[in-house]
This record gives sequence, C-alpha cells and structure tokens, in this order.
Amino acid sequence: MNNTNIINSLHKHDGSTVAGVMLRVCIAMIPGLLCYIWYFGWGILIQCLLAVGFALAIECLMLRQRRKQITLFLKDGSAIVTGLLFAFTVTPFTPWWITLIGITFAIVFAKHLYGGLGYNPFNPAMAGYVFVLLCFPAQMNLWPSVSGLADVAPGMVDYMSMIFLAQPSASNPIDAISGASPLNHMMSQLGLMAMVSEIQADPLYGDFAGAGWEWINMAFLLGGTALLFMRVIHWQIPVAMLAGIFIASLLFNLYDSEIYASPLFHLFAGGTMLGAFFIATDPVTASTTPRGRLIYAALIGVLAYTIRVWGGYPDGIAFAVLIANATVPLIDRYTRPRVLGENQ
Amino acid sequence: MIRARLLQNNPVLLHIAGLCPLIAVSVTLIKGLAIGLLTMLALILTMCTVSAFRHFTPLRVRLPIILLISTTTVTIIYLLFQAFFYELSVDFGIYIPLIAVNSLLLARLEEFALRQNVTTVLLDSITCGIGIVFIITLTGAFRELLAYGSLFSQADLLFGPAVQDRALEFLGGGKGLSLVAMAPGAFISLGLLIAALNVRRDSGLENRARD
Repeated sequence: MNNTNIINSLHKHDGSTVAGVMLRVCIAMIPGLLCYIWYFGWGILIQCLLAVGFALAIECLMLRQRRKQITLFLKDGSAIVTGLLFAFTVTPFTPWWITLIGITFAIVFAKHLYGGLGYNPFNPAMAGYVFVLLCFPAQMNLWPSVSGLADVAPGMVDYMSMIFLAQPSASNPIDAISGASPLNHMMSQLGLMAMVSEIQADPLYGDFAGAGWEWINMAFLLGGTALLFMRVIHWQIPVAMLAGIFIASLLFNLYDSEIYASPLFHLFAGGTMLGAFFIATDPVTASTTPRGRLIYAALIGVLAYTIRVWGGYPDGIAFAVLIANATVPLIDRYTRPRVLGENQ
Repeated sequence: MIRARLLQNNPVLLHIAGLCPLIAVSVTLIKGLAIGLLTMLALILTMCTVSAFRHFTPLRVRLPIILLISTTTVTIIYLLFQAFFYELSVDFGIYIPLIAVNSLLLARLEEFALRQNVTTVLLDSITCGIGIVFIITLTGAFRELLAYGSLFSQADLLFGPAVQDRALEFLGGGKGLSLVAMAPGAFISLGLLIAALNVRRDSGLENRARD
C-alpha cells in the first residue's frame, strides 16, 4: 500500500460554467433591451425571439449532423447569445428570412464549420450580420423612427407586417415609420457638405448623441459595467476600445469640429457600447493575454472610427470586430507572457 | 484518367493554386467557362512549347525562358480573344494577361514540361486543363445561382447571338446573396466544393473498406 499523500496544488474551480457566463451576459442585456423597446417599440423583441429561435434550431441541426450531444451543447447558451447579439445589431425591421439567412451563416459557417464553440476565429453574430449587410444593403439600412420625434412611431402591427410580410402595414406607409439612424444621417449630410453643427441641430440627435440611441447606449454601458463587476468580462477590452474611439474622434474633432463629429457622438451612437461590452469581449474570439486584449480592443476602436468616418457603411463596429478577430492569433503570439528564464 | 483529374487529382483542388482567375472572374457560369478555357489553352500551348525546346534550354536561365514563352503565348491568346470576344475581354480585363504568371501554370512548366517529351506533356496538360475548366465552371455556376438566381446568363458573349436570352432564371432572378459574387464568396464557394468532394471521397473509401 502506498501511503504517499497526494496534495493537490491550490487550484479550486470557482464553479463558473459556460452556461453561467452566457446567462449573466443575457441578463446584462436586459436594460438595453428595455430601453430599445421604450424608444423603438416591440420590433426588437420580435427580432430577438426570431433570432434566438432560429439560432437554437440551427444549432440543434448542426449538433445532430456532427453527432454531438445535443442537450449538453444546447444548454451552454452560446447560440442564445449569438441570436441576441444578431438581433441587436440588425434593424428591427429586418424581414424574417434575412434573419434566418444571417443566423444560418453565423451558426453554420462562422461557428460549426470551424469546429463549434471555442474554435471559431470570428465572432459568429458579427459574421452573420456582415453577411446579410453585404447581401441586402437596402433592407439593412431601414431604421425605425424614434417615438416622440416622428408623427407615427412604428407599432406592433407595423413591425409584424414588415418582419413577416416584408411590406409596410396598410395604415402607415414606410416613410412614416422609418427614418435615418443618427449615423446614417450624419454620413449622408456630411456627404452633402453640411457642417456638423448644422447637422446636429436636427432633433434626431437628441440631447447629446442621438435620440433614443444615446440612452440605449447608456443602458448597455450600465449592463456592461455590471458584467465587469461580475467578472464575466475583462476590463481591458471595453476600456481600450472606448479609448480607441475616444482618442481617434477627439484628435479629428480638435482638428476640425465642423467635419468630424465630437467624441461624445461617436461614443454613444450606433453600436458602440454594445460592441465594447458584449461583442468585442467574446472570450473565444478576443485576445487572451492582458496586453493582447488592450491592443486588440484599441484596434477595434480605431478601426470602427475609421470605417464610420471614411468607409462606405454608417457603422463600422461589426467590420472592425471581424478584422481584429483575424489579427488575434498574431497579437496572442507577440504578447504571450515570457516563461521565466526564457530569452527575450 | 480524366475522372481522376476532375476529382481526386484536380490541380486546383489539390494545391489550391492558380486561384486568381477563380476568385476574380468566376462570377457566372459562362465567365467561369470562358476563363477556364483560356487558361486551358494557354496551359496546353506553353507546356508543349517549353517541352519542345527543353533540349535547347540552359538550366540556369530556364525561368526567364519559361516566362518569355508563357507571356508570348498569353499575349497571342489575349489579342485573339479581344478580336473575337471583345465584350468578355473588356470584362475580364487584367485577368487574361495574368494567366501568364499563373502559379499553377509556372509550377507545372518548371516541374513537368522541362523534363518530359511533347506527347506526355500534351496529354497531361489536356487533362490538367479539363480539371481547371471543370472546377472554375462549377464555382461559376454555384456563385451565379446563389448571387443572381440564374444560370447561363450572357451566354451570347461566348456562343454568339443564337443563345441570347436563354438564361435559366430561378426565384425571379436578380435577388440573391450578392456577397457570393464578391471575392469572399469565391473562397467560401471553393471551400464548400472541396468539402463536398472530400465527403464523396471519404464515403467512397469507406465503401471500399467495407468490401
């Protein structure tokens, strides 16, 4: 009989599971969801349900096809998060079949063809979003008008009709219920040589960044901060990404504030906060070293600003995240902590 | 032998080489077929010429000589193509001259044509060319179907006015996944094609193992 006592080193599992992380991410999105519903109506909720339903169904199919344990992998909740992120990035007017195509691309191509959760180099939700954005630019740039600003805010009937029939409801024409998002508006007006101060006089720009959008971003900032305190995400990513956007926009704003909008606008417009706290922080596709996370996220911030200002699309978060995803292996390689005694 | 060239030993699929025309031009079936045939023609002519002159080619300067032969041949083909298929040649632009420095072509010229006699080289380049035509046409058909919902569109550019407006259209045409017609779509299509052929090969192997 061997009497040697084997003492394990002090590694205690803290009980966190993939499902637990995903659940907390979902909960942290609730303030943003409520805010979205408050300003833009029920469309986002239908979109969330559709996207999550499709994501679960396709995940189930793929797991079956790959002969994996369906219940075990479905329960990890990653498909639900992918569906939710997709729903938050597309416009609430997106017809159901575009959502289906985007989710299919996200789950089948961006996730399972690379080996499933943990092996995908690109953020699945963003890959799906960029796919439909490039395929259907007209439908993807149709944003609902903000309640309180327009004559008619889109209601449940309008959303149902747009999503399931791909046409406006009989009572409200499409021009009444849709309008440009602040980022779209800024881009087209700057293209017409208007000055930023003139453009921002429009009530579309709300109190400081964009009616509705500024508070949705605030809500995501709140939810994201909660995620930080729950230690679900690392501080380096949101901080560096927001700093990247802030510094880039500040420099150009100081250079000429009539051509380049203020940092405040860029921080609280479009998908900035959603991107910084929920998308860029995806543990699978982000860099894994502390210094690497700073570089990766700063790159997203600067790229997103660049694409917004000089690119062909109004918002650049999704493209920036995908490009930065592609650089992650390289960043990880050069920021790997040095093993003790290893040469420089 | 041709069957082997098409599937198991297809030069494009095996080495993922010579992708330039595949990605840039194979947007529709007809364009894929056209650029595939051009590449095949260039391959056969240069391979045979290089092989015929192999005894006069000093080993040290083989690369300049190979390049000289391939650029000359491709220039002739380009000018002829412009003369007979002007619209397609405008559409293809730089991608026809680029056949001269196609990696697949150069690799086969140096590794194969310099070492074998003309008959072997002729047979090999014909089967190799058929493999290229097959894969580029297939990718073109796949991309056209997904991106534009049609097949055989613009066939008149290649086969004359007799086949004008004979394109097959599905789902009303014109409303498709336009990303598939862009460069990333070519990579995704090629990846799917390789995957499908691998599945086929693997199931074939399994069957043989069972027998």
